[in-house]
Amino acid sequence: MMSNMMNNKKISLLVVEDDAHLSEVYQMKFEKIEYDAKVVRSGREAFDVLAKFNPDVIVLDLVMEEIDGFEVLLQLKKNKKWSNIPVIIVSNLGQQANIDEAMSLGAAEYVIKSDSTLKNLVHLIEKYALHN
Amino acid sequence: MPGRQITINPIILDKFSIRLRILVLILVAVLPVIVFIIYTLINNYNQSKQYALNSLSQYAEAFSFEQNKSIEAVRQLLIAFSNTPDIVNSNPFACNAFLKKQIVDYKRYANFGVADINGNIICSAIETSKKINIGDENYFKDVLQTKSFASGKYRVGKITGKSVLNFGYPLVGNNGNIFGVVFASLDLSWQNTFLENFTHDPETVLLVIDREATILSSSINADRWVGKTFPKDTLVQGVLEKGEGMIEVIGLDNIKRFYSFKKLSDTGKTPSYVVVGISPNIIYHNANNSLIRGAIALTLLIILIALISWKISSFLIIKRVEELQELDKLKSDFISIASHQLRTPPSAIKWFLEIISEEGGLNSVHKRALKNIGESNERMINLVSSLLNISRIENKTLKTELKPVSLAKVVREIMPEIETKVKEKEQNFVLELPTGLPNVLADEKLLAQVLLNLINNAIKYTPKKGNVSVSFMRENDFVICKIEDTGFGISDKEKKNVYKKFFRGDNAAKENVEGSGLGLYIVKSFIEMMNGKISFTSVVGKGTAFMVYLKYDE
Repeated sequence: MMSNMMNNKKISLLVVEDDAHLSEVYQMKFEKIEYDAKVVRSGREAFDVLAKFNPDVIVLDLVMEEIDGFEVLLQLKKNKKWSNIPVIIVSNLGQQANIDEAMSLGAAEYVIKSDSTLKNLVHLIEKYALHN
Repeated sequence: MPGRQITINPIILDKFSIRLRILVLILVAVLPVIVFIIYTLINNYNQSKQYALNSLSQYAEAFSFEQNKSIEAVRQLLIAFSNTPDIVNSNPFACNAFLKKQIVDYKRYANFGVADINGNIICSAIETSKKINIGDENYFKDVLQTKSFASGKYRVGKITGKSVLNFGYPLVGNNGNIFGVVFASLDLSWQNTFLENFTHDPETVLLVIDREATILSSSINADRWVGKTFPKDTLVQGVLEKGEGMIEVIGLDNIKRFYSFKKLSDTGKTPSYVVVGISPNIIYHNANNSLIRGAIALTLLIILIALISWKISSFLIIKRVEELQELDKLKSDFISIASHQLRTPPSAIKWFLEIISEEGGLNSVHKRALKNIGESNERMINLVSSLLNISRIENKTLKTELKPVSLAKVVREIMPEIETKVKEKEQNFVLELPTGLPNVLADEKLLAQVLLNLINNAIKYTPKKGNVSVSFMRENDFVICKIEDTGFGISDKEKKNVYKKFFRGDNAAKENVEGSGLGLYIVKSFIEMMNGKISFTSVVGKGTAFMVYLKYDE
């Protein structure tokens, strides 16, 4: 939690999560630790935000209406502007096939929601934000 | 990390192979009918062939009837001559004049004549200055010997120079002795014309042959064939000896035909035969036609059956298979969706609790309530994972990948969680992991779940300050992991139910230990998937020891 203060620059983060309560919990957590975090509820919104916002890390849910996380990930990795942004998948899809698919599409990490803590997620975000 | 190494196996069904199997099944079912049809076809073919051959034989019969009639005519003529005074009176002049007159009326004959007992010609229709003797002729000898009508062999007439067949009849005196022979030379060229008119089919050959198989007359190529010998192989020889029969043989024109032979009556010791030859194509024409028609019909029938079974397989089976595949997919999708949906709310609860816990200013009541909410929530998460695992075990959609796994690594992974729990219950925990143990053949994720579950159970069912020990040893083909506790134990009557789904022991209820009753069922299934075994010993009030046997990699 030191890193967000480093170079006087906040860690910027885009969270894509369609569940209302999880969006809320992300919002609360990242406000508290003073991230420049934008939480959106769909893939479409994510691309709208990305047009003028360049986050250090993207936290991406997989199961979403309309454009799902796999599709968002694919589009991100296809576009030179975004392909270098680390994407941490945070999902409750726990099957190896899902994990393998996300990793092969270029995800940096795969976190299973119910197995993980916010603390752990923050730890990963900072690892990739710093790395970048 | 429950349920990670999982992929859904779709039902793999090759529709083509299903269709093929149905087709084979139906064809096998109708095979007796097909065999019966083929049998009937062959039977019909043979019958139709036999019918054609019978027709040929009847043709030969009709032909021989005609020939017999003409031979009978010769006999009647010669009998008439033998009773004519001009011939009997041995007056050459009167005899010559009589015969000369007769030859004009009977155009079918080349010559008539009379010979004495020695064969010297006394008179003849065609006069000759030469002294001619017929004593060496077969028919002459036969007449003398049998004292009756006889026919000769093919001859080029000694007087006429024409192809002839001679017939003789005895001249008998008042004393009953033969004093001469009257003969008639049938003009074979006339006969050829007769044969040509008898049949209108150029493929059909009508022949008259003698005992030596010399062709006397022929319906075709008479100018070339008369006097030649019909191919006289052993078959032909056999038929001639028998008097009649039918054989397939290559004729003088090198064409293979069916020949029907029939011996002519009343031709004495040197019989003649009529021969009718028909090309096998004609014989088999109808038979072949019906066979071909039958074969085409049968082929169409089989194609129809194939098409019908293809359609049937689409309507009755493939459709059902597709429904089942769809159902299977829905089931898999359901598991996947359930996995996701059921875990989302507890995830939110878990994270909100984390946020609250990090806030300051909570009193002891808050803290105690939050701890219980958190634990209940974890139970919920574990329960969902367990149900999911059971669903995957029972649907056989859990895919395990057995690889050499380091026990030290697995133990290291699960130790933090165990240590936390042991500390909470102030238990004495001993781990014995000797160095030099081989890697076990296992699925790392499943093995971690198995060990964690068994050790958690030991901790859960052992009172505060009790002992829990985990030891590994190598024995024969297995590495054994022994998890021992000084807990409540399992009563003898409950031992057989330990691995049953949702089973919970009396002690668990009595001691107020939370659990779903699914753990050991899953543990046993996972161990069996890794080709291992599990067993336990337990004494109520003393403790329990679970042994996990795992195959190892050499």
